[in-house]
Amino acid sequence: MRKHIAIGLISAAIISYQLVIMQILSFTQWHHFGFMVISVALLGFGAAGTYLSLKRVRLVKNARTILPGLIILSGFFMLLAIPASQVKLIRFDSFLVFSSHVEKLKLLFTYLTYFMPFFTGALAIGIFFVQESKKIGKAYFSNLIGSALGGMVTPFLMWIFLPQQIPAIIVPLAFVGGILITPRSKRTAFGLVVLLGFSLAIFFLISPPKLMPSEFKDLTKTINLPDAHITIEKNSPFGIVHVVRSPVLRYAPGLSLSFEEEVPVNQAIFTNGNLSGSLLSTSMNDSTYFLRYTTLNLPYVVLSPDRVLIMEAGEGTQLYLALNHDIKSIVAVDQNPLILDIIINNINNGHLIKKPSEKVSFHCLEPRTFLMKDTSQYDLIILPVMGSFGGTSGAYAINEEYLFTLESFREMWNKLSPHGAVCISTWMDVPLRYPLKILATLVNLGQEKGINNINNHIISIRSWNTITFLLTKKPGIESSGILEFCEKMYFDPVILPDVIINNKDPFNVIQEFYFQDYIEEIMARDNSMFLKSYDFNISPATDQRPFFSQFLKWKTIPKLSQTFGNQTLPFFEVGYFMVILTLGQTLIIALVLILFPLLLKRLKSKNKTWVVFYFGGIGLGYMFVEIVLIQQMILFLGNVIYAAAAVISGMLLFSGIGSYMSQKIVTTSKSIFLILLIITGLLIFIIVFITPILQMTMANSLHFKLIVTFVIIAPVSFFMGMPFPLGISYLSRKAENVIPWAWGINGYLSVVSVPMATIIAIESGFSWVMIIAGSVYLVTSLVGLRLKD
Amino acid sequence: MKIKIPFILLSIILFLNTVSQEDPYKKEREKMVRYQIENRGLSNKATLTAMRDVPRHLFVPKYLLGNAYDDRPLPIGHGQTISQPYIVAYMTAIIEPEPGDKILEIGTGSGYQAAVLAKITDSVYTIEIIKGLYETAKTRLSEIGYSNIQIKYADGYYGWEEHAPFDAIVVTAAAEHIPPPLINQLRDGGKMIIPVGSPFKVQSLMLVQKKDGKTTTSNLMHVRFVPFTRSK
Repeated sequence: MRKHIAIGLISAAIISYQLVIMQILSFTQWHHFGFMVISVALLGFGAAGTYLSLKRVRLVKNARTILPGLIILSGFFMLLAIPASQVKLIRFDSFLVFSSHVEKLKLLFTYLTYFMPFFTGALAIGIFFVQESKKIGKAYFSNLIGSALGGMVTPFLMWIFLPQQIPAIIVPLAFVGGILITPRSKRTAFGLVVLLGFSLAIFFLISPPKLMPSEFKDLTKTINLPDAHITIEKNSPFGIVHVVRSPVLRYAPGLSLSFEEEVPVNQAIFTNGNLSGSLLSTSMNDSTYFLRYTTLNLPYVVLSPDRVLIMEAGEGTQLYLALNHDIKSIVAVDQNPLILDIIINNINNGHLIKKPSEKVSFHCLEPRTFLMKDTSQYDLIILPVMGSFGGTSGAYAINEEYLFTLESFREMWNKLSPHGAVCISTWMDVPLRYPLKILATLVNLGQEKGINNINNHIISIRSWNTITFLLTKKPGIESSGILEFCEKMYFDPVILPDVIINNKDPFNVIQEFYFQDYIEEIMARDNSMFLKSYDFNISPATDQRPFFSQFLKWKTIPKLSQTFGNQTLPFFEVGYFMVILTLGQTLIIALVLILFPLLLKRLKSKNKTWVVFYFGGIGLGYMFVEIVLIQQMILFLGNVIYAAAAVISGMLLFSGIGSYMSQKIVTTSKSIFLILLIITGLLIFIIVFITPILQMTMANSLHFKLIVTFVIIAPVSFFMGMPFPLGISYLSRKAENVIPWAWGINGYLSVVSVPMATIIAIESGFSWVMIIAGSVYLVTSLVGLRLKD
Repeated sequence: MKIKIPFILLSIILFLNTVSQEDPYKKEREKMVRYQIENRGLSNKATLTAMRDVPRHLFVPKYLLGNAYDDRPLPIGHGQTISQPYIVAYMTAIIEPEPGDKILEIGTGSGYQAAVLAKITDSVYTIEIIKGLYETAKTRLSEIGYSNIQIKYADGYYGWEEHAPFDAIVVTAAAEHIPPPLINQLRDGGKMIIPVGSPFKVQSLMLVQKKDGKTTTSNLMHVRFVPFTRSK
């Protein structure tokens, strides 16, 4: 029993540590680099399996000492990895990795630093599994329950502590686990070591290591400004939020060149070190007046809205502009409570409006979920400015942006009053991608709604760096006011109802000479040929493929490479590039380490092919299902953190119970086949029925929806917890020496499956990930039939 | 004959010594101008001469000396970079500086762009907001002997009112808005050049022109600023 508790505790610590370093890497680097580092580090699980395959006899023989030793050692590595990764000698800068060999070397050291806690912790779990292979159901249960607990507790800790403090709270659990199973003869020595560990944990809790974000991140650059200081530093599962004040900090996105007043000094908000908005700090309405000199002001030139809905209002700008126009009723939605709090406090303290509660109502919810729940109508729905100034470098390519899918625009359209409009702005990027994709989405929506002359419903103007689109429900808005506005602001009209744009003498000449032609092509009744032939993917995003910022087309890579040079290419779509790189790296490492024991140790077993397919298949299938379920629950639960926590922890919990119950099943090829077939059947059920179930229950309270989530994931997770212990139990009778290798393969494929699922989702949609998961389970069940009982 | 040999040897040593005292980077600079700038179609003579003259290697951190003439930007600390040689040349050529012009630079950085401009025109005014960069650049420019460059540590947002109007303004750091005081301080008919975007992104250069009180912009080219390696 003690061993089970110890394994549960180290499992909880490992999951917690994984979540923490993901957050730290998101802050100090790009979060996609975090994704890559953590994936490689997670291979520690597989590597532990490989090492155990090679040294099984010795490790198991001395397990009484080695097991607690490894658990305690893993705890130490967890405590030290974060401060070590911030040491100048090791600290890499993701912005330089593509061009500097020194940085590549540092990246390698970072891998190693983060790898060690996984490797040592996983090795302890592996040894335990080998020892308990006859009662693996119970052993696996303790591992899964521990992991579930770690996954559930850590997001809550993130509300209270900085990420670098959290290991100091979680790691003592591992120390306790280690001491619990330490043999008497070693208790004094191990006890002293653990005491040292506790002291270290207390030290890091009181004096957390300083995180050093890349010098090229927005936050670092802003802190370099004169008299800049951080006024707020708070953590949450949504990321670390900083507010910086400096007397020279000004933010006026896309300001007209005709504006002659002073741009007010403001504070800037950063999420994970990236600029996410600004706070206008004075109490006078004048401080927001400059926003009328941006293209964002277009809807207020065209309409006189009474009710305005602002999506992702935490960005700030749109809310301040609406307030400046003295809109009667503003509904502001954002899912990050920390940022929303900062904005609300700023508005209240700044007395921008006398009684904000009467004018603005704030909703802390995923905007799409708000759209689905809310029954009101609006005169204007405003989306946040897409992308970022100077282009995003494709950093968001693998982000799921449900707010910008065709389904989302459809819901917004249905919420508009008869004279209402949807407004969306973006930066003018080079080469053109965002503006064209937005237009394609609006045109597609118009066609879907049976609008014959889309020209009568879309208005668009551009400045030197921003472009704003307005989709109006009422056709034929009068253009004279817009033209006047453009003339005054030095803006150029792009699309006006029934007005042919004279592009001969624009205020802002752009290099894409064909810009206006592209606009016309997209506005045409049939734009499919153009969308297909354009060098970038500018077809509208959908809920199935919600990657609005993913533009790269495989077939045009050679052309882009020729035009912009090979070194530029990764920066076109760095997010996607990272996923591909991660998949490549993890695949190579996994393959080498899977083959290692075969070559070195010449593992003797008749079931090697079965082991690869079976343990690889269930590792891959499990993660695919988990990824799709998280994706489905984001919109349903209205919060990405709740969705991830509920699905991951719920699946681990029910799988743990399934694993425990698997002890009662006699392991035969038939029983294994049957369970895998049940999983396949349940997955088919989910594929067919999940969308209607979620839609039916969408309007209910969060508590009720959490119950619905668990009801959906419980049966399939319960059965998905069985194949692993059943497989190990089978091996314990037939080929015990292969158990660590099988466990390692399971670990490798679990890691490889994450980037693989992302690529499939981007290319073909999430339903394909689920279909492939079902197929993998089906193939694995058939492979199981080959077993001899 | 015996007397002549030591004399010849001495002459050779003296000659070699003279050669070694010549700027060892001259050849690299020549190559830089020929292959990175002229080959890309830039032919403005004054700019090419300035690029040939200004010792770029004196403007990069010491540990990057070997990369000073590479066809890419280099980090100079504080999250800033010294621009790729071609970009410096392009930004210089596009504003067509002439002797007698007054040019304002916002964002001194290493001081390299100011130095190139100072080779062509009589007075260059440059402002840097990061104290560390300002101090290094000031010392560097004075040591090299650029007497026609005035540098100040201030917020570039306000420009340099006392010396306005300027014939051209070079903004070396990308900004999501153009400060109104800079447009005010640009002479009618003057040009302002700004890179749009930040490191790692496909960028463009923005030319702002003021004529008869109207301000217009032109997006000029795709640019990419990628720092080569970490600053120390």
